Amino acid sequence: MGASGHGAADERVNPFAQAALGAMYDPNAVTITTPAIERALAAVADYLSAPNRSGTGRVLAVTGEHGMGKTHLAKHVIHRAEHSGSAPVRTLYLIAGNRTFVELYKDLVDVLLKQSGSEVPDLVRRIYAGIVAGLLRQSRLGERVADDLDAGLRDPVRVVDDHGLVESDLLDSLENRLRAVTSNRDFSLVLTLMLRPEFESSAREWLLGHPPDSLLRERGLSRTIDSEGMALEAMGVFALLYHHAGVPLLLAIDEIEKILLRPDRPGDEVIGALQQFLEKIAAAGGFLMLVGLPEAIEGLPRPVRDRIGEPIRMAPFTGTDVTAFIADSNPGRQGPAALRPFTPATIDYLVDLVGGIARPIIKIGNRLLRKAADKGVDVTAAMVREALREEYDIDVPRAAHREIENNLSAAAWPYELNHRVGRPGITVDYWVTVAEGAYCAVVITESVLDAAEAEALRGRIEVIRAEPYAVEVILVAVGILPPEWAEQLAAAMNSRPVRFDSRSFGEDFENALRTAVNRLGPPETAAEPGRPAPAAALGRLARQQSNMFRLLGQTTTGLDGFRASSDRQFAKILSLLQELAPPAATPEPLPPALPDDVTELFGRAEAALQRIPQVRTLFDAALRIEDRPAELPFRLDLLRSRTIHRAAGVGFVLQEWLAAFHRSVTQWYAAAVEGAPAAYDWDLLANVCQIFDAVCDELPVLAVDDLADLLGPVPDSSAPAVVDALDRLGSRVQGQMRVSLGAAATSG
Amino acid sequence: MFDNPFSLPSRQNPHDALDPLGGDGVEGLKLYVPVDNTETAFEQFERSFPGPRELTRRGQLIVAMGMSGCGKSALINRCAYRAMELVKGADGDSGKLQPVVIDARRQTNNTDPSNARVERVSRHVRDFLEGRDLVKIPDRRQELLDSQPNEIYSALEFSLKSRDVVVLVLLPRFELVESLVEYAQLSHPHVVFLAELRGGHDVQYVRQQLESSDRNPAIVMNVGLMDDSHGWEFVQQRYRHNKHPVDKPRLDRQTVQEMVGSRQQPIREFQRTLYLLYEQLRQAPKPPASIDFEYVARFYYQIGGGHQQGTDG
Repeated sequence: MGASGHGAADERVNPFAQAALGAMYDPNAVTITTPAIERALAAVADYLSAPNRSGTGRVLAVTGEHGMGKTHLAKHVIHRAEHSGSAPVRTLYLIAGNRTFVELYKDLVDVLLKQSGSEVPDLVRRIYAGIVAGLLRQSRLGERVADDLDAGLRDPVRVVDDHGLVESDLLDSLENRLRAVTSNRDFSLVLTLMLRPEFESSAREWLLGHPPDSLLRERGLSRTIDSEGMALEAMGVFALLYHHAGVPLLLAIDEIEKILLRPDRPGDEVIGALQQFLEKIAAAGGFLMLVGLPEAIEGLPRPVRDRIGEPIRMAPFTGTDVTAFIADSNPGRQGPAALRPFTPATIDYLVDLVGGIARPIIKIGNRLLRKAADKGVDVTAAMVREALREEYDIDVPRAAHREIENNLSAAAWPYELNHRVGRPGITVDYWVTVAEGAYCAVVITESVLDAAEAEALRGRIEVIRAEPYAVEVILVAVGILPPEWAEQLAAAMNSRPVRFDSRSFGEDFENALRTAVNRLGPPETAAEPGRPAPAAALGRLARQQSNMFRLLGQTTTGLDGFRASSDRQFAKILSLLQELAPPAATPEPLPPALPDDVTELFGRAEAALQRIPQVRTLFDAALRIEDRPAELPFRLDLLRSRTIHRAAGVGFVLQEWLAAFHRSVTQWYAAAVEGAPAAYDWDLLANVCQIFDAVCDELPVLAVDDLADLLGPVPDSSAPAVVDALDRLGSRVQGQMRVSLGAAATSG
Repeated sequence: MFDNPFSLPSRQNPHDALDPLGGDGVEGLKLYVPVDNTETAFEQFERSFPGPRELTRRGQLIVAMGMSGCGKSALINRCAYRAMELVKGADGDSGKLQPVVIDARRQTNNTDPSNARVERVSRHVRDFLEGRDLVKIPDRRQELLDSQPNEIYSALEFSLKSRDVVVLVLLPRFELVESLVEYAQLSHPHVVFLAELRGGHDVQYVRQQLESSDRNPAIVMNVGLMDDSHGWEFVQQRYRHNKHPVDKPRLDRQTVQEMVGSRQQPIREFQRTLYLLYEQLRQAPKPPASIDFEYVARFYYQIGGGHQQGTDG
């Protein structure tokens, strides 16, 4: 055991609790108080002093680089709000992740509707209670019941039912109230329906993002909450709802850059919807915290940023901050004992190495405390370096290599692994050929934890840049690279090192590579004058072209099909144009008669439609000027019958439709018998027959047969029913034509 | 113990609407009180109802509309009863007209979309008529009706075994005017639809929508809320009809005025309050001789579980 009294160290509070890493918030953990944190806490305290006042809502942005403690701050703020002792506040913490506002909304509504059970219906009930109470207060009879409703002692739905109040009117009032509150017709309708058991399920499903079912559609609801704009609108509606129900809402959205800085960035419409959402938060007296990278907020248009105000930027911790943090965690100890096994020097050393970033301070601090306790020693600088290497220099480099290789392969850059340059040779991890005589040297470094390491690395870079080619160096720091040395190395390379962060390294490296390539200039200028076009660039082009040809090959098999189809379409167009041509001056010869079997099909259909003349007879009889038979009054009543009207109308249409079909088939046949019909000829016939059948299917053909019941049987009692005669007539004509022409071909 | 003057004999649910066609019988007609526009609406129905024989040549849609609890069901039941009487007494083509009443009000539930509800009713009507051998539907029509049940109404023109039948269909309650419009379009000879439309719809708008769908104008009646004079009339009528003893607790006019004066009530609320009040009075060991407003207000608070100390009765 060392002189540091490490038997006592085991009893110390470990201030670097895992909960402080953001995965789980520990309300009992000591929090480092920095100006940024103080500003954030002051803002929420100010809000909580008078929450939920209309027009006084706040939107706060907390920004900072990865690992600076933004998430911890957000959760700390929420914890403060929940335990402030003032009026109850509804708090929600959501993570934007690599997603959309739609998915964010679904997370929100999942909490409100699923996890919290009846929270949203209860809010609506609260508003409804006010409406029902308002009605009851119109007379002394219901005053006390109204008091109970206002106090939340009675369920308004139950009161309406128990007392037999005018439910329809009260629900209409509720819907109108919600519309006035939310300025949204759809939500006001759905939220009102949530109070009716028979509609609650439909309402919930819609709020959860499903399309409206038939019950909602017949009430005029057609939208679905499936667009970014709708999702933001919906979140704004909930903020207004909570406000009107008297419940302050505090919402934190973390990792907002994952939505705002996506490769397919939100368009103007979505940004406009975001602005409106922020305005609703303000109007609703809510408190919204947007937490994320600085560029996510800074990149927003001015009108949106104006709704947010000055962002709170998380600053790196200083040695003093961390010293105070450790000391405050052990209030029973004073002086050096309060910091043991750390010393101010080792604390400063650690903080400097990691650039004051909270996450590595917490991680390494935790590791060091355990190690010091295990070994019974104080923390030393060497232990700090060892802990850093253990944390960052084992798995991280492998991940970096994978990402770099993926990047280079995707862009089809040729590269060489572990290329040696200079004398004595030093190794370049990836030697990327940009063009003839133009290269990009990717150097991966693990943690640089002292001046000697920094100097050695700088030397390597200088050797690389001294090569007799155009070379750009990309330094990838997979471990710790303190800011001071990062600046020195940047000066040596004329570009900033790329720090490995698993969340963003792919994009960061791609950007660095692009910058390096651009610096190397276009391929021609990179080559020596007079030399042929750079081989590397040509090779890259060739690889890209081979990919293109492969894709083209996959599509060429479809080209033949397209060609054949377009030929048929052209022939069809030609045929249609000929039909539209003005009639010839000389009379055309009669078309050849259709095959007997086909003629018979048409004959039966035409016979079935002979009922139509019966209607004509009825009309004539009704308007006859001469003596009228005794049974005519009954027949006159039939003239008023809808059934007659429909049957007659449909019958006339069918007659004309059938006649047109007959003509079309006759025309086709006239052309077809001149030679053996080709495939596209049969396609033309099939087309016509299908259209005929499709239209017949839509007509209430059966209505024509009703005439038999009303007007008596037709003169020719052997005539088939219309529905039978026309059933799939087109298909039958087509089939019979094939048989007939096929038989003619074999016999001829 | 005395009888509850606001109850109706042989009735399972005291809060159900008056129904002369149903359990209340003809006696139920005596219980209609001219309040909340009910009488005016009924007179409108009687004036507008077509001659019964006309119904063999055209259809008719009858609608009672108004806010919930205002007496739509009771009005429609009264109209249905009256329509049945009118049809029964009228001459048909071959004898007396025969009314057939089909109550389809419980054939659907609110979770069915509108088109599904209409089809359910149509199937019920078909089943009812076929079950009583009142129709003979041609075979070729059977399959069509299976897939398009709403065709039953047009089929009645030639499927009814007797052309003197008039079918009175009591439809489920609607909330959407569009649902009523569907029935206006299904209106056919021999069919009378009786419907309720719930909610505060504009009467003119409803008439317009129905007129554009059917050449036979619908009969649209509107009922409303009660005021204090209606309330007093209602109370007196119930006391008279049920022969409420004069020595038993009674409401006075002033009390009724205070109950319904400053806030108009739907008849359902008024009837329910008084019924429950008298149920409590009947059980009380020493009911008060008269019932003042404070007594009623205390009781009103107790409905649904409100508790207070020193409750009378």
